[in-house]
Amino acid sequence: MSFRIVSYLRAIWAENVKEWKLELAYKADFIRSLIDPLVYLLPHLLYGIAIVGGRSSSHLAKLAGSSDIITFVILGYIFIGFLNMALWAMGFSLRKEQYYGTLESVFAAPVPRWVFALGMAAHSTLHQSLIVIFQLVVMYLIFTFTAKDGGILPSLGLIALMLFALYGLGMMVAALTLVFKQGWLISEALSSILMVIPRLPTH
Amino acid sequence: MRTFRVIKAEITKTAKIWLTYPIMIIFWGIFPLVWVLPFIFQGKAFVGGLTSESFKTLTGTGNYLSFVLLGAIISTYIFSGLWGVGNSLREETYWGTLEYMIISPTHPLVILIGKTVVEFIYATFMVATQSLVAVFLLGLKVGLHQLLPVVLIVLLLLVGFYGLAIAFAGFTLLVKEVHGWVHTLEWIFYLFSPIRYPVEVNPITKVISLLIPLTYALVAVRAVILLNKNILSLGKIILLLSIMDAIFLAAGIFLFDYLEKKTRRLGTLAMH
Amino acid sequence: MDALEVRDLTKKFRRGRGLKKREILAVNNVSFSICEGEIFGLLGPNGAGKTTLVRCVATLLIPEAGKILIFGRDIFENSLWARASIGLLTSGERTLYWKLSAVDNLKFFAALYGLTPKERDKRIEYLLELLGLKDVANERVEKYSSGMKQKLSLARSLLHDPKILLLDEPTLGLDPAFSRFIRRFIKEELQRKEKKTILLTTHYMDEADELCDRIAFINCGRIVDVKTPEEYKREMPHKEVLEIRFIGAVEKSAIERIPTVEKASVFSKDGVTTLKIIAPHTEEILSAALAVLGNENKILAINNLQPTLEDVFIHLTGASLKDDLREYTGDEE
Repeated sequence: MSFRIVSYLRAIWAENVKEWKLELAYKADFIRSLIDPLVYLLPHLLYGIAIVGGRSSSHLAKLAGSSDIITFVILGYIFIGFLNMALWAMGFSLRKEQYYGTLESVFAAPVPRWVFALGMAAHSTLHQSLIVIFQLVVMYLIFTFTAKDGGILPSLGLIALMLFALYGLGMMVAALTLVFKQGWLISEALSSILMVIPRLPTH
Repeated sequence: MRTFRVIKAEITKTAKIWLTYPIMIIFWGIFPLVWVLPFIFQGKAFVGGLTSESFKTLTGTGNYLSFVLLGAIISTYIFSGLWGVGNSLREETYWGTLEYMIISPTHPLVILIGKTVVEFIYATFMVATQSLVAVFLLGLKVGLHQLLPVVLIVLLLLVGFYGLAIAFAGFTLLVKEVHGWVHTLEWIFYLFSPIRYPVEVNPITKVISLLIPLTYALVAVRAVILLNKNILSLGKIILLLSIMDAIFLAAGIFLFDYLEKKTRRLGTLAMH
Repeated sequence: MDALEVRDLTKKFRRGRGLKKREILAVNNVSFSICEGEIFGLLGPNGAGKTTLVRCVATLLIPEAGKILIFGRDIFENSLWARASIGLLTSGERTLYWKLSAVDNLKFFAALYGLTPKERDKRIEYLLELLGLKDVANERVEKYSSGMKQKLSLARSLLHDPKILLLDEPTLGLDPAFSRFIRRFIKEELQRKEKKTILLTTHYMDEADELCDRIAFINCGRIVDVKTPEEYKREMPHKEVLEIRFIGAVEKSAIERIPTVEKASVFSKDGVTTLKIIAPHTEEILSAALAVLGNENKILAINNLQPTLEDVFIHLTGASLKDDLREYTGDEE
């Protein structure tokens, strides 16, 4: 039994390492994957500043309890980053294997398919976490923001809980991309809709 | 006549292929506007209404919703051209038909012009759909007398961008995967030109935006629609756009021709 | 005047980056000419430079040195004119718009070749009838079999009624019935009736033997010899070929050291190795060859054969037509 668990863990790790190696083989793309999200986020922040005339909005304070639009947008954006990870990175991992021509060999290996899925999830989470850390550092240097004492650990707990739901979503999309040729449409449509819904005014 | 026939054949072929993917047509007609919605909700959450005094100080109009909608519509026009024309030859490589196009006695540039016309028609259809939604559902106000000046400015902008797209098409022949580069270029435009926010809000973006032709076109279109400015008062911008068109188009055609020959010398034409 | 003349053609490819950058000589100073109405074959293993040569003639590649003339005119100085005189057919299914019908595919390419709508419709109808595709003319290409797709590609290459046809491995991957059809079509329709000049590449020796008036043997980017199939076979009147099929491996040089052996080739596929030995009297060398193979190799069959074009190729180059030399030339992707 323990032998089997070790072999599964080894397979998960191997999947994660393989994905990193493939990703780092395209260095320009990797660097772009770090910078692109920043370039995407900044217009949202600058737009907010232009509308409010600063970074403090009394209306936002009424709605969300905090008046700092910068922190509000950045935090929201971190969640969007994880959402996109599930929809694109995880969602397209099987399709990618299909494109490489390695999917059948991977599925023929004597490990359950959830092991492969967990490998994908491990890689996607590590990758996205790296991007988030990079973004937070850059954003802190530009805008500076503070977190409330004792707020970080509960936040990380919430993110972890959210991740499990997103893994489910990612696996669902991954399965759908195998069936539908225009799999990217599923990811694009879901990410567009999910970008809007969490922003609907709640009051 | 012959060039016209090639363009017509390209339009017919592309339309027939697209019609086999009806879901894509629906997608592109709707989603670019969905991408704008977060900005509208964000604005409402931050200021509580649909106008902003601070925005007015920066842009001359407090109506940030119309500002963002116009940015979205015009950016759809140019980015669909950049993706469409830039990627069109790449698509032919996937289909395995590129070499058969190149060995025909039609100059590759004529084929690319055909593809550009196709993209223009397609983008016009998308932009028209978006404009109708923006006017009738989201309250964008456009007077009939404003249409002609806006069309002129947008056409001037498009010519230059198609020049850039033609150069990109040449790059796809040589380096194959330019997807990432187009993506980065797109986000640079989003960051440094006033598509989604007034660049005047930050001194760095304000200076860099002056190097991007899109900035001038957006300023001009918003001046006509939102500030009711006369086209004649925008003479300088129109002259500037015309000069940029000439430069971009000439450079695009030259680069494409150079890169197409280089690809044939390197022998990478049919590679994936 | 020759219909097609290739003079001192050289084409190099650069592969790799930085320190790993290397130059590959895909076509090395090649010259030949083809008369009007002739089928001229380029016969050689995969990666020998055949496709590179055809792609140069089709103006898809620009060579480093040399000239290509069509009816005396340089194709790179008159590239649009040259393209109108050439029809190209390559192997592989992915050369058509799968989402379009045969008619739509042909209509599109007819526009690129400058046909008027009237000429186009007449030509398309004629070609679809000729190639037996009329009944499926309006069906999407994705529903076609490989053979039907190749027939449609052939129709496309004939749309503008070119004087010169470049057929690059036209029957590769097709089933025997379609291969027979394409071969008969090339010989009967294209050569006998329409008097087309054809440059054909193949690594099937029987295809070259059946179709070509003259054959150039090409190996590692060089033309080894140009002769008619009959002349080639006459080159080996007093030679025999011993073929031994076995499971295992053998050094070619060890076989060639056997007295009276002139050339040997070793080719492996699906775990079975085929050893071919050319010698004046093969029965005299059989026991020596079996001794070299030893007990560790499992012999499956031993045949004594009459020399074929492939044996002539082995005799001249020491390589088999079934070899894959792609790493040398970078011909294919």
